[in-house]
Amino acid sequence: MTLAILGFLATVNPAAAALALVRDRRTDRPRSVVAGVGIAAAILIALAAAADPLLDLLDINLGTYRLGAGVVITVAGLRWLVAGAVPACEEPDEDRRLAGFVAFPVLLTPGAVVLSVSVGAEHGALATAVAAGIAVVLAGLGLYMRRSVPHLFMIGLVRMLGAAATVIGIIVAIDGVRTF
Amino acid sequence: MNVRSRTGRALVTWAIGAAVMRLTLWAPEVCPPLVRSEARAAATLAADWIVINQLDDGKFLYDFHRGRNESSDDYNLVRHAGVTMSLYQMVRGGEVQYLDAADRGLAWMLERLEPTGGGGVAFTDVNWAKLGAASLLVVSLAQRRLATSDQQHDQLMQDLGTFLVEQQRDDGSMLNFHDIERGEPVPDMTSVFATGEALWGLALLHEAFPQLGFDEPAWRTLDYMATSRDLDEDIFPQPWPDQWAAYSLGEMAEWGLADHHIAYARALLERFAMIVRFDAQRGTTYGSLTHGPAPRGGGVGTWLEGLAAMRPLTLTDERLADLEGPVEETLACGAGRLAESQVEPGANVSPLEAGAWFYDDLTRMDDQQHAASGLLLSLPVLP
Repeated sequence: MTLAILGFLATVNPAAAALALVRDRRTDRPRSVVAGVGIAAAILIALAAAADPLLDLLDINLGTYRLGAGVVITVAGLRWLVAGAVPACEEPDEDRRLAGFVAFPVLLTPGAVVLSVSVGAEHGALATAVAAGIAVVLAGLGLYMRRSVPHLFMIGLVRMLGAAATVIGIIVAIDGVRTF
Repeated sequence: MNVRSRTGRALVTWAIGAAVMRLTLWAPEVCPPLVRSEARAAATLAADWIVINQLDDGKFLYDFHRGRNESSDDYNLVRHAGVTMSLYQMVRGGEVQYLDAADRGLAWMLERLEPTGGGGVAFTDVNWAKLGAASLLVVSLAQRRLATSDQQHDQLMQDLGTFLVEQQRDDGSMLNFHDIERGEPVPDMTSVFATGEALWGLALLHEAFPQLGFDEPAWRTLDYMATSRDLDEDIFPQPWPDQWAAYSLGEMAEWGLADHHIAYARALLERFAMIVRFDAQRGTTYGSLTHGPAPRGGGVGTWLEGLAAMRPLTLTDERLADLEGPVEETLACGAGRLAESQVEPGANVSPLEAGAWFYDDLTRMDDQQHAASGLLLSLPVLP
């Protein structure tokens, strides 16, 4: 469970979320951010709940899935580690567009999505809900309060979480090799 | 950047990434269905290839290249012993029609025995006797003894066992060669294959002659293999997918395996399973492009042997009980994949091809050996 929480923190990367929108302008639209967080959490939990049917649909074993998931998480982590956060976007005017953007691509990162199926298959949807919930809520908070958080600190934190994701990805991949 | 372009780029990245993953690491695992009668038929077809192409003096046809329609002059005593062993396994499995051919293969080996420096006997036709050759001769004799209850070769088995023990070092590792003229093991040369072959031989010797103390060297080599062998042999990734170690662990299942032996068994099972799953992903139309060409029949056969030989451990040892279902499922998948690639007999199919597995147009006797053994041992998990 601890690894799941750390995994989601690293793959969602709340620091990257906090840098997803420009800092010089922030409208006070908590509902849109909450909606985006809610949508992302719901999708991650749904994926976890549907883990076994998904694997059946893909015709692959959990071990094979984990190997691939580990590679995805590692690549995403390396991208953050090497290139840092994606350049910030202008905040969209429409509330729905903001909510949608928060959900995807800010919170529904490739690593988080593949991790949710892996954690769901092993620990179930409830554990995924807790672990992913912590990460997406923190990320949403970081995005909402982005002008209050130190910018340089966040830039550095993006890379640190990228490094963590890289390590976690390797662990997941190795676990995949060892899983029947 | 605006959110629309960032979202668009993300969607494109996701689509490309998903496609790449689906084609490669997440390619579907194709497991052709196989029932017990089909697997037995495939195993007997493989054994038929060995027997039909056996020479009058008991030697086996070593290989056949169907593109050039020729066989090489190569031969390998270890593989001869292994093929003989496989035929005796078939006899034990109820296919008694192979006993004559197995005995002819055995007779060929018995004409090539040499005394060793420490009072043992080695199977060789050159000055440097190979450990693996004697080991698989022991295994052949043990399989024969189990199949026929005939004890006429008991003394020979014990003498071969003496040679196996001669080749063992203090740490349990085994030296691969014995200099017949000098009467001593050739120092410092080991083999990833022969160590496991020797261990299985020692284990079978203890089972046959429990009063003679072959269990002690067996434990020493098992400990070595479970803890140090892969490091010493620079194996990466570990563990070496060693079906001989698997056979040994299966044989020693009731001896009281320690936790580190079980950990080694688990690691071996995981390794074999991963290889079978990867091979199953070759079953798609593009599989050979993304996962490389299919391995030779002998290779796949060794994976099945490895899984099947340790399957009893998952049934009898609580520490591996969680793997019972997954091992059966993986074994069935591998058996289906192997049977699918066998050359079917037919009116226009030469006896040099029927029942064989070809790799780059070449089949070798140990392709049929390992495939026959692997399929035979897979029978219990098939419907």
